[in-house]
This record gives sequence, structure tokens and C-alpha cells, in this order.
Amino acid sequence: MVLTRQVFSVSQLTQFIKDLLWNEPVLREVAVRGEISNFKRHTSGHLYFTLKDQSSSLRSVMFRSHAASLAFRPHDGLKVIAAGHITVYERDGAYQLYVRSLEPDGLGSLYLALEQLKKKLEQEGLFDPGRKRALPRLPRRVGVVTSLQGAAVRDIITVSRRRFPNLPLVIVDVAVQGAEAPERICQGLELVARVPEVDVVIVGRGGGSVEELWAFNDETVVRAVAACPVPVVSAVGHETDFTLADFAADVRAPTPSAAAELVVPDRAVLERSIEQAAGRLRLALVRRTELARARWKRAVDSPAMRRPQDRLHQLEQRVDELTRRLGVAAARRVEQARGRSERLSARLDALSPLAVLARGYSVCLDSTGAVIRSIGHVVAGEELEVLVADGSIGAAVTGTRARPAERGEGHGTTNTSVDPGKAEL
Amino acid sequence: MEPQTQALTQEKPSFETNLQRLEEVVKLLESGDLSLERALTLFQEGITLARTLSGQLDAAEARIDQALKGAGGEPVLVPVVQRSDGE
Repeated sequence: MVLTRQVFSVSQLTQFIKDLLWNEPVLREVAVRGEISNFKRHTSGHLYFTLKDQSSSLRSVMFRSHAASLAFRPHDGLKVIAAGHITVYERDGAYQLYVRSLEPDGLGSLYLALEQLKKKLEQEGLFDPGRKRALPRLPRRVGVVTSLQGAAVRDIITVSRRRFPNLPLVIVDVAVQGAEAPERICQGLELVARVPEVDVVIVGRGGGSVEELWAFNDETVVRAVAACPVPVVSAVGHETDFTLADFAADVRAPTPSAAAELVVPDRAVLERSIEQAAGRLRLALVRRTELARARWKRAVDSPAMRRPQDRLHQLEQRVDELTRRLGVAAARRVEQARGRSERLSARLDALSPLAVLARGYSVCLDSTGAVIRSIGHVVAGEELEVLVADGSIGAAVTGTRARPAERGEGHGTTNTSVDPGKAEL
Repeated sequence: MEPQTQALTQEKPSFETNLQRLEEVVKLLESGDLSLERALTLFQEGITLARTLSGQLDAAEARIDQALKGAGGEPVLVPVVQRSDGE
């Protein structure tokens, strides 16, 4: 019995089991739901983990070639759906799931990856409101990165021609869906920004399924949008579609048509605002001139300006008045002086010797003209001159007689008896 | 590349710059506390700006080009022929 039994080596048996498993189509392409535990990322880049549920566990490995395309970071406790094949790891004699693709269970891998990428880029500051640039009022050229075959480019051209017929557009034709799309969009953005005079860029595509819009969630595209040297307006799909490119763009437009509305100014509006500005200028100048005129008039009419003249009048009047008063005063003084001088001359007249002589007195003078005041002054025979009112009389001394003694000191006088003191006045 | 960037930096003021300056001039002039000479100078500047701005609206060329990568990696523009039957 024993001899007839087929005895395998461990390797043979393992290989047998391996083949058995391999021949089962279900195990060659299988998807498993479970929770990640014992997650390890080897330095080689391969991922090792165990998938568990309440009662069982399954060893799993994801090689670097597949792991590199993971859009999210697996971690312990994460519920996932892993797809791949089951085979035996011969050295350990254990069957394992060789994972080709891994996606989070529940949310759907795309959305989790999106959330994770969004969080990461958010933390990097790529979506900061402070990074948002204002769109130019009048771009010299509008760059458009989209597919020439799509509806978006038609909408953009239509709106642009309606709003500003002569505004130049520069279109870069890129694939907006499919595996190549992210790279093409990045290249398109880079290229269009180098076209001279392109002051703003619209990047986007028309509506489509989530998968069709997915290129605009690609990290490289989001970074290219953020890095674009000129402002970027994103216009992906319809109003309800949000992509990460929208968050990185300076402005998110709900649709390509709306993007063109935002980017291409309405020529009529610009013309109006220029006209209005010119109108305001004219009005302001007119006002300024009127203001100047009014101020000038106010200044000219002001008391300050009128006062000097007024003052002059007042001064002139005062001068006149003073002149008049001066004349009056002067005349009065002259009158006074005249009166005084007349009075004085009258007094003087009364004292004149001539007046004394007119009253009958006379004055005797010796030959030298000296007034004779004493009998001792003359000798007999001496010739004298006797002054009277109307002339003089020649006379000679015949003799002298002293006046008899009088009261008082008594001094000799001639018969002419003149008070010499008074006469000499 | 070099002469091109130089040409770009030496460009005339953009529509933006001119429009901003015009708005500034209008506000200054409207504020009213300027000398009459200054007001006149500003007015002349403003009117010139308005004329320049209108010119800038006309200066654009109604072209739709496609940018392609040229030999040196530089963009090359070729006119896009719009297909009317493209709908």
C-alpha cells in the first residue's frame, strides 16, 4: 500500500497546489473585500499587508510596479477592495493575494484618492486664496488649452466673438481625456504661457463622465495650473463638476462659455467706461474752473480786498480835516500874536522919551551928548543942547543953583528935571 | 528668447495700467483740491489716456491661432480655420 502511494517532495506538492490554484479561473482574476492590517512598505517599494475580516485573514502583496500607480496611501484599518490573483508563495508554503489594483472600499478609490490629493495640495498652499491672481481687464491674447474637437472650444470662440470681436485667441489643441491627457494638458499650459502677449489662459473641456473629466484631477495638471505664469481660468465640464484644477486655478468658471465671459471683456462696456471717465474728466475740469472763478470773485469782493481802498478814503478825509483845523488854529494864533504885539507897542509907546518930551519936559545934553543930571556936570558958559518934542535948542549955562534941601536923599537936578531912569527906557 | 523678453518689458503701458491711471486722474481731478495748472495738466493727461485706451481696443487683431511646438520647443502660431460645419 505504502509502496503504491505516491510520495511528493515538498516542492512537488507545493507546485501541485500552485498549479491547481492557477487552473482555477476565479482565483486568477479575483477581487477581495477586507481590512488592511500589518501594512508594510518595503524599501524596495513593494507593499506587504494582510487582508482581514471578522474570522479570516489573507496575506497580500502588491509589487512596486503596481503600487506606484496607487492614487492613495493604504494604511492599517482601511477597508479596501483588492484585485489580483491568488498564488502560492513557495518558500513559505502559503497562498497569497498578488494585488494588481487596490481601491478603498465604500467611498470609491477615485474619491478617496481625490480627497487625499486635495488635502495634500491644500496643505502645500496650492489652493490659498492669497495665490489667486486678478484677471486682466483687457488681455492682449487669450490662451485656450483644450481639445479642438470638443464643444468647449466652440463655445469659447462664440462667446469671445460676441463680446470682443477682434480679440485674438491662441488655442493649444490637447487631449482632454484618456491616459495621455494629463501630460498633454501640462505641456499645453506650458506652451501657451510662452506665447507672447498671452495674458490669461482658459483650460478645460466640455461636460463628460467623471472618468472623462479625471485628467483635471491629476496632480501634475493641478500643479501645472498653479505654476502657470499668467492667470488661469478653469472650465471643466458643467456647473456641478468640481475638479482639483478648479481649486488651483485663479478663477473657476462653471462652464467653458462662462470662462470666456470672465476672460473676454465686453467691448461695449469698456468703451462706455472710457467714455464715462472722459466725461467725468471734463465735468471735473469745468467744476474746477468754476471753483477757481468763484474763489477769485469771492477774493476780489472780500472786505480784505476792499479795505485798503476804504482805508485810503478814510485817511484822505482825515487829512482834509486836519488841514482845516490846522488853518483855523494858525489863524487864531496869528490873531493872538497881532493883539499881543499891538498891546506891547502901546505900552512901549507910553514909555517913549519922546512922549515925555511931548508933555513939556526937556533933556539937556553936554557937548559930548551925555545927559546932564547934576549941576556939577556943567560950568558957566558951557554950551548945551536942550532936546524938546519937536527938536533941539542951543543954550549956554549962565549959572547953577542947588535945589534947597528936600526930604529924602535929595540930589541935585537941573531945571529940566528929567527922571533919567525912565527917560532911558 | 532674449530680445523677445526685452521687447516685452519695454512695451507701452498695458490697457490695465492706462485704465488705472485714468481712474486715478479722474479721482484726483474730482477731489478738487488741486491748483488750476495741475488740474489742467491732469485733464490733458486724462484725455490722452482715454484716446490711447480707445486705440488699444481697436489695436487687437481678430485672429484665432493654434499654438504648436516649433523646432526649438518655442511656440509657433498657425491660423485655425474655423469649420462652419463643425457643429
